[in-house]
Amino acid sequence: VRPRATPGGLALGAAAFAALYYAVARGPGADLRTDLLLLAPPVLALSWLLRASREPGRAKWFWRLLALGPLLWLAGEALWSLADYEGRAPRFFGDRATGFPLGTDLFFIGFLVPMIGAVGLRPHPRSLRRDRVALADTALVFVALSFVFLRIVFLPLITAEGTHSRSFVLGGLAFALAAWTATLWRRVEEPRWRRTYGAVCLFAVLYGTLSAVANGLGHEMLPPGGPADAGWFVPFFLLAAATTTPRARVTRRLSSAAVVLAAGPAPLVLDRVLGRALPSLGLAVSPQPILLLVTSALLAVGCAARLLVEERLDEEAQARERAADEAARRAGRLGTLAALSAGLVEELERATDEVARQARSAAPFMGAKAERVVDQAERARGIVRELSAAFRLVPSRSRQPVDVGRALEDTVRAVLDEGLPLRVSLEGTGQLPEVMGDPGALGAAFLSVVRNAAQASPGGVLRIGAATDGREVVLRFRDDGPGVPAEIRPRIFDPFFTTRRVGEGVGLGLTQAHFVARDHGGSVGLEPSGEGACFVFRFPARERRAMRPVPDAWALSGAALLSAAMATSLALMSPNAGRAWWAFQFQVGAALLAAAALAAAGLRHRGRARRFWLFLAAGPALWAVARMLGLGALEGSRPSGVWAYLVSAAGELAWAAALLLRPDLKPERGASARSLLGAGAALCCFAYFYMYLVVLPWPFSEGEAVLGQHVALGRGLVRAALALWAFVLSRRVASGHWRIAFGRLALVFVAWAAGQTAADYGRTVTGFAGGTPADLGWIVPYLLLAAVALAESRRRWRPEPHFASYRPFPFGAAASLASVALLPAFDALAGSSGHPALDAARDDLTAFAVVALGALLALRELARDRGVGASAATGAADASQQVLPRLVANAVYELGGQLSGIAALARLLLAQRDLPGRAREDARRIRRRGDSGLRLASNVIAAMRGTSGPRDFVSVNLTVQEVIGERSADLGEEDIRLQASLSEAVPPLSVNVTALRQAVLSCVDAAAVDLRAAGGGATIEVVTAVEDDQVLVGVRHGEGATARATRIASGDLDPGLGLAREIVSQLGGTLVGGSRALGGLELWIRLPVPRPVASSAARRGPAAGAGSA
Amino acid sequence: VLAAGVAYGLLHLAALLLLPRPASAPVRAVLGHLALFGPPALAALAAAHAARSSRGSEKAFWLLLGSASTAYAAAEMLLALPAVWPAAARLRGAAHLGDETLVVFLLVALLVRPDRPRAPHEVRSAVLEWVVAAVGGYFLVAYCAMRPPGAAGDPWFLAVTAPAALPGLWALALAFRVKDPPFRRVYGLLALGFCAGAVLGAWPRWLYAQGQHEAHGPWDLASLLPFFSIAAAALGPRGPAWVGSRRPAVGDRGRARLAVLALAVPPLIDLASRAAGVQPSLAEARTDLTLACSSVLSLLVALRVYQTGRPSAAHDAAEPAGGRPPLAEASEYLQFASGLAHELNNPLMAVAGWAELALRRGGPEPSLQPLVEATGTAAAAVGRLQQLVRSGRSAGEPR
Repeated sequence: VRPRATPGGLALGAAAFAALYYAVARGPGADLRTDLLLLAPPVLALSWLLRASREPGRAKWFWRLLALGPLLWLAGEALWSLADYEGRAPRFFGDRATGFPLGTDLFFIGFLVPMIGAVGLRPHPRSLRRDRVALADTALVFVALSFVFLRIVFLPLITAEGTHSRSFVLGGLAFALAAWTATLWRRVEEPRWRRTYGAVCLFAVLYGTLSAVANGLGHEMLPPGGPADAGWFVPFFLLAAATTTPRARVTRRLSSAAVVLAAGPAPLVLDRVLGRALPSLGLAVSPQPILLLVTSALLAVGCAARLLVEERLDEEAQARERAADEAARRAGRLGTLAALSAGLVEELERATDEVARQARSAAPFMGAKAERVVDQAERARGIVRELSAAFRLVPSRSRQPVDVGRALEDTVRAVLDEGLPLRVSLEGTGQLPEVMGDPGALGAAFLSVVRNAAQASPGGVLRIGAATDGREVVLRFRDDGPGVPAEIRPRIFDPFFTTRRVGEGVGLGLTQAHFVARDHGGSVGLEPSGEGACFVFRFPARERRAMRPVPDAWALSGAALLSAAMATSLALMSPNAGRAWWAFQFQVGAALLAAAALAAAGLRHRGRARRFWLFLAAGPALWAVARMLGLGALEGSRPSGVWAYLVSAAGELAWAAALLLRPDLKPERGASARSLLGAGAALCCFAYFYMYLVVLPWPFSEGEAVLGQHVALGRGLVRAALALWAFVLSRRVASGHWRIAFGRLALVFVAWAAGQTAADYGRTVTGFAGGTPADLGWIVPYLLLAAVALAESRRRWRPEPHFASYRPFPFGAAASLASVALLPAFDALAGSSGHPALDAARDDLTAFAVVALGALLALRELARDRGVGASAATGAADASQQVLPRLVANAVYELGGQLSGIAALARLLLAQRDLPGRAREDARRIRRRGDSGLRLASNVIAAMRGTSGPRDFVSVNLTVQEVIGERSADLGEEDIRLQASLSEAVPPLSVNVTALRQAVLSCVDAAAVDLRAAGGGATIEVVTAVEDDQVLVGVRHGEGATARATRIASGDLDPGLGLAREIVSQLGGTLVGGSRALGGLELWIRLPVPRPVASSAARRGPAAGAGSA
Repeated sequence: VLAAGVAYGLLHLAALLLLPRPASAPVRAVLGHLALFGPPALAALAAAHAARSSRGSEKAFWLLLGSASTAYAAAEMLLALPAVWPAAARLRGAAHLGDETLVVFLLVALLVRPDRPRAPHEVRSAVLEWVVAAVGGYFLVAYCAMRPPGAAGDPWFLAVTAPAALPGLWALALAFRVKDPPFRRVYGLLALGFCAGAVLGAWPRWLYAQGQHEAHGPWDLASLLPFFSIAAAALGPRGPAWVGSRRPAVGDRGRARLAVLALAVPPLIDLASRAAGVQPSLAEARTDLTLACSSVLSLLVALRVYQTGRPSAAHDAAEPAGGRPPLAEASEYLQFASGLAHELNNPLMAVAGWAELALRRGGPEPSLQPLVEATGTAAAAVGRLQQLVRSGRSAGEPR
């Protein structure tokens, strides 16, 4: 639909038209001819806009509304030509007696109204660029636009004689249009809409500034033929250009160097050019050095912010690249591992399947414990199954479009139902494109990462953020645990790599997550984050979903349209023609509209959210009531009666109370008293400042302009505090829905604080006359609020599962105590007002507020102490107890790695043929020491992981055999043989397998140490026996000196034995040992036999199985 | 060197005190300027000597200090000339320029930071930053030196001293921050000289502002102190020679800071001086100077930003990108296998234990036997796995 004409062609057309225009303007009778000539560009723009309006959807209405602009302007121009023809065209624009007839002004100002409404529709596809560079750009453009409009339009109008409300409103509308389109221009991604918004922005800037100059800046209009006349036709060529499509398909980011180069000298150059050009046109304009300096400083700060943001983005991009590299390397490694172990896993799967089957069939013969046997068999099978699933050896065939957000929500809900100690917040899951894949596998992958977070920080907060990045769906899982140390970062996706104790998990979850992500063509990795670990999944989106325009644009468009229309009508009305009455109607109407919309939004919600919106609705409603109570304003006097003021104060308190309600939080049991008291204290503070700054001085400000201005500014301050609070909430709240809502409210509150303060202040300056354009400060914020509320009530709100998370404010107690001290300090700093009665009232108020606030805060601390103190303390102790063993285990693990490296180096040395005998002997010794050190390290690790594991009935003989199997090869190389003599009478024991195994291993290792010192070459005998309700496991040999054996048995020479002693005592037994009479060492582990077996052994008599001991 | 400086100063003072005041004015002037010429010339020679034996940024540092001293010495010569050759009085402006240049050169020299070697690709942007600093320094000097014509007794004249204090403060900060001992010494000496010079320098300015200034007096020491410290630093033992980039290339973190300092500070200074109502008659000229300076600075900053652009990938790769040795993969496999064996062992042992228990209590039961056997098979598979791990561990050893 869009014409492909180049902007070059349009520029050529504009140049040709300009030549024609100025040629005609030189000739005689120029006025009428130029008037008629100026009809052409809007016609061109109109025809192009109408052609573009064949676009479907909301864009159609955008173009139609936009086309209404030039149409209205044409009407105005036609009227103007008629006036010129009749020779009664005025020489002044605006409010002077010789001003324009109403009709012309209506068209020349009002033509911007539908254009603003059109921009409010925002028909572009939705993906706003989220990068912060665009935000910095927006700020820069805003500063530049403000400078241009202030310098050219507003400041000259302010300094000119008389009131120029029409010129002001025209400039203000153009500025609003320019600022809004500039924001969209820097933030919209799609090139053609960028061009549209950019062209409209330029249109508004050129029209607003040049037309103001041509209208004489509050003085007599310039004669036709001057350079400022370009403002009557060039903008319409730009409007035509807005409908064209650019060639480039991608938009590149502006180079920072160019931005700095443009932003640095631009204000100076513009200022100097204007300083020469305007006087040459006959317009006396004073220089504005302060504006210039402030703009320069602001632009510099903006440039610096942009550079900073860009640097951050570059760093993030580098980090992403590094993560991708690591992921690719890991994929190769784990892929090899999976391929290598495919056969092995298959065999194990068969074997464990068989065990499980047999266990189930044998269950009837095993009595009461059958269940546990089957459980254990199933567990073994489960591990192998899990492994096979983790390696995705059988990739799922079923591929279907999956709503990742929904899958994520389901997983999180399931996990929380399980009772996992974690608080989870989900964001942005509602608007994700679909992914082709297997929902079950995706759920399992998410589950493993969520579990991981729960284990990393029990009771902590997990923030899950979902977003789209280009064609990828990105899910970020950010926990607040200790984070992943750099040294284990590359290994955490390895199978069986776990830093937890036994029984908490096998260490396959992250492996599975890796393979699931790979199966879906995506990746999972760790991203650097400030605190805690941040796991990031990336999946390719199924397709680029046709992006829809921004939702709920109609409300905002309507509000903008209404605001602009009210502004225009206020500007056009003459002060005598009931303008004040109309202004009053507009104010009350806007407030009631906002109240109704907020109430409607409240009725769509339940619980706290409903109360929140209804409280908010009370604000404008009470304000409207106060306005109506103060009807005396219309007669030019101040609002009569204190009631009006109290009612409006109640409205403001309702707003504060609404923000303190925290609708995003679920009421927590036990914490409600505390939060209620905290909210009460905050409300007390707010009420104090409101009373102090606004309510108390109000009666005294009668006829005293300075105090009146102070009251206006104080009100603005209190409202700005509300806006700040809303902004803080929008940054801290976990829920995406409420984050958006608070962000919008913060913007509206800023507009409210600024606009109403300006209006209040303006009235104290100009005297109390209603109906000036300053009244818009009371109207526009309410219309914006109504738009936000309407959008809220239309927004599809999917209740996100749970938002228990918000970070506690650091130094909360200190801050609250400081607030008590703040009030007297504020009172002291505020100084005397010059009214003794007012000062006395303020002192009383301060004293009362300090007492009330102190009491509330003290009660709150009391509630906190009762509720949270104890659990917080134990939690901290728990955490420290968990951290230390993990640290030690990691350290020992590292130690083991070092020792294995030493032993491997010794082996390499031994492999060399030409090694001299002495060196060979040394190398052998190093290898032995390394190996035994390694064994010790692994014993320690196993002990730390194993002792607290679950107990089960374990076959002692099988365990001993396994230990012998494990050590025989190693010790065989040193000529130490292992021999077992096992008693059939030994019953299974209820112990932890790992622990028992470790104890026996340690004993064998200790015996080996002794033998090694004795010169090696002997046999270690491992025996099992039953004696007196006790199972005995003995390790003994018959070589070596007695003294050393005694020392070894006491644990002096081999710390491993001390460890074993500790393990055995934890299992309820004892480990004793010493030298044997004929030389050598013996170590005995005695473990109690479980009760039923013990009784049968007792029946068999005490002597059974004795003797060997 | 410092002792020689003290002796020199005492000699200078004695000579000035001995000469009768009104009678020998030209002699005093020539003598005073000559006395002021000596130390900077000495400092210039010492710095040149130090520059000869150093490389890279350290060389630049000494060269800048040497040029600062040379400029000052030349200025003193120019000031001494009119006493013997009256036509040279026209060169006074150039002489004052040399005087002001001292501060700027010292500032830039301290920004060079010889203790922080730069990689070759960083040098160009660093040079640009020095130029920015020089322009900023000249702005400060010129801004403070502006004064209404004919206002000799203006107390604001003291403001001229403010820029002179900057190098001293900066050197002091560096002396506290730099850990490298030789450079720490150099910065400490410079800080001592510059700070003492700046503090003493306020004295003649104050006298000038009061209208009691004399051409030469004890306050001349203020001008001499920095040069003795430069000479002492240059002749003393110095830091290690520049050996190339010892640090990994840092990200481009400095750009935003530079932009704020260079672009926002001049307008803010001017705004502050306007708000404080300092010398309103000069406000317009000062604003013009500020804005012109901002424009030049923004050009330089833009150049700097353009020059660095995005950090290239070549400097990013700190670790070698080569593949891992095959041994590493094997050891990972072994780790995996041992982990798997460990995990499987526990439940299998438990099953075996329960089965044995049942067998013992219930006597030989035919349906329990297959379970024991199956457990044995599984345990054997796990055993093979452990065997694999063990054999893998001792793979490197000769059999």
